[in-house]
Amino acid sequence: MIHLSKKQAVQRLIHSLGKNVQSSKTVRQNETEITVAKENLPEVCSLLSLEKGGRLFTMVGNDERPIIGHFALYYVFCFDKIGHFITVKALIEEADPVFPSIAVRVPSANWYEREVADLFGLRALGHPDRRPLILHGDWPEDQYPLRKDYSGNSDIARQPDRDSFMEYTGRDVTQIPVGPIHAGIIEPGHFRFGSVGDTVLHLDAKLFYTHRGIEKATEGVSLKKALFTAERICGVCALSHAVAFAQAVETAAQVTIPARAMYLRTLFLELERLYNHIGDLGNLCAGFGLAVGISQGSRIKEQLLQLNENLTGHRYLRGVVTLGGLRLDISNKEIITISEVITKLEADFEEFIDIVLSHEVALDRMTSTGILSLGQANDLEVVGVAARASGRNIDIRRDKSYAAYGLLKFDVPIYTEGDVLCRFKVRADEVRESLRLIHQILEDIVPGPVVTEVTEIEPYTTAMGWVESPRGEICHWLMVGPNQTIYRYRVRSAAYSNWPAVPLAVPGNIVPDFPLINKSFELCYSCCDR
Amino acid sequence: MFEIIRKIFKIGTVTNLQPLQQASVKYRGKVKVEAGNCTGCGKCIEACPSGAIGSCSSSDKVYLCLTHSKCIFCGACYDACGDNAIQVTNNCYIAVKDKNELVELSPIMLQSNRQVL
Repeated sequence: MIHLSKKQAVQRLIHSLGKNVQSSKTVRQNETEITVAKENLPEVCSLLSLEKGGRLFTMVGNDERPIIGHFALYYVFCFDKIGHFITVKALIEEADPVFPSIAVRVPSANWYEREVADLFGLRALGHPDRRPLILHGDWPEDQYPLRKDYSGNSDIARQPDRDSFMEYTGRDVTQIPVGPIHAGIIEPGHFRFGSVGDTVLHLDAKLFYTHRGIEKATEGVSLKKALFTAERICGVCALSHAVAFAQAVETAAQVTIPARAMYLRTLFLELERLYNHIGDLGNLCAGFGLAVGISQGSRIKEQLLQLNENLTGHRYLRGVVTLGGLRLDISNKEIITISEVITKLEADFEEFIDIVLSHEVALDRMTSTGILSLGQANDLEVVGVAARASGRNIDIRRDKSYAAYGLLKFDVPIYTEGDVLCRFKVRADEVRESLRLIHQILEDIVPGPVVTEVTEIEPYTTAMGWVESPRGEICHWLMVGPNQTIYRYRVRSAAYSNWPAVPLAVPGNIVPDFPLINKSFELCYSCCDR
Repeated sequence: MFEIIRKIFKIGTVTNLQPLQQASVKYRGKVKVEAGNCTGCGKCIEACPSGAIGSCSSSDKVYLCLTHSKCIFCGACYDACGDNAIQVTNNCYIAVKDKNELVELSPIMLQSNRQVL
């Protein structure tokens, strides 16, 4: 096989698109932007996705009427093998706000295209699902929140709900509606089961009850202040979102952060993964009522949260990151503390996992429950723990490394069954890898400054930041406006990629297994919704 | 089964006593303004992302005003202040019985050339 250089590989890719490409430009070393006519979107995108192996990283709609007089769509494809992004850009005129859908051939584009219809009024023709996604049915059809001529403070009169849920009818089918308000303390979502006896036949999930309008709220806000908003997109992946945003800004400004800051970011990101995974492993036990598992999980998690507080002043690691590095440094004494806590925790954690995995009822409930096949995971471009439990070998820490991950050694655990047990085991293995990473960081960390100045960014520069959050890969897409403010900010969280997969894993299981399956994915509602 | 019981006995009770004095040293709690150091430059007002530090006018004069209920404990005001006038204390006991107590009017007059937000 001929080994192509990255540049040649990218050229070949673009060449294969033939005359469809109107223009192409190199945005930066690892990103090429090509412009196509909107009629050619399905052909270009399905070629890149289905034949060339690019995965849809994110898709962004943008109101660029004040700059160039058109709306714009950006489909970003990530080519893991050559480590390159190809952004397909198409302009859409205001007078004709439609574009051909790619969702039939590229199923992962489903939600993105529905979102663009809701928030920009750009309709995807031929999309298999015309229901509104984000704004639900009580929002007037002619109000598009992300258009620039819509004020974020508008008071909109709601209208009678025109939305329709999936209805299950037939003699032996029972319809079970659950939510949006739940008995537990989880976030809102409506789940509708069509079941025969206690076996689920079909599940329809309706989310987006917690739309906070974060993307609209950050428009025009200075980059420095927007970081605090980014940090609050998610409660449990706070640091991941802050780092992703900071990386997007640093890429736009072409700034490299100091080596010590890279190591420290990696350290805190792994501490975030640790407390999340261990807490989630404990919570999974709630799915089959193993009380000792729940309490051991939360006990170890609490130790980590207290460690976070002692190191940074915040249990959930807010206020750690700043644009260009970190806001705080850690002392040598603190390095020893971390090392002590982590070493003590290792044996404790192994005992906890042993208890769960040697418990017959636990194994019985987890094995072959909630299977997500590799085909489904690939079609929907699932990320994170759920992807790796189904044999989809992706991890953005390894594939397009950021912070100090490129300098450290770690393995990416892969399982192939795709059931709850595999998702449990992936988390347990990732905890071990995180511990290994933290030990390496504490050994290798270099002295030096932890922050560097972020230079002025040219208006209308676009950039992306990505992080493997505990729930999977997240992507922040940013277009900087005049005076170092945000023009457009698009957050694609791991939950956004993975939620469509949950309803596929449930049919064929019994209704009481749904909480267990849901917990094994452990997705956020509000960072999906923003 | 034996392993579970052994683990439970080995761990014992883990609940901690509530630390009634204060949180950890680095904890970012209630913000305090040292009136003696403040020059009224207003940099903290510009830096505050949530509008917790603002200005209130009373009898033609503009004063610095802290609305603790809006504070997100980010510490941006502390970073912005060049005069050592803002302290982020580790006081985490900030609940009050009357909402009005959350608004704190400081005796500091802002410099007149600053824009009033």
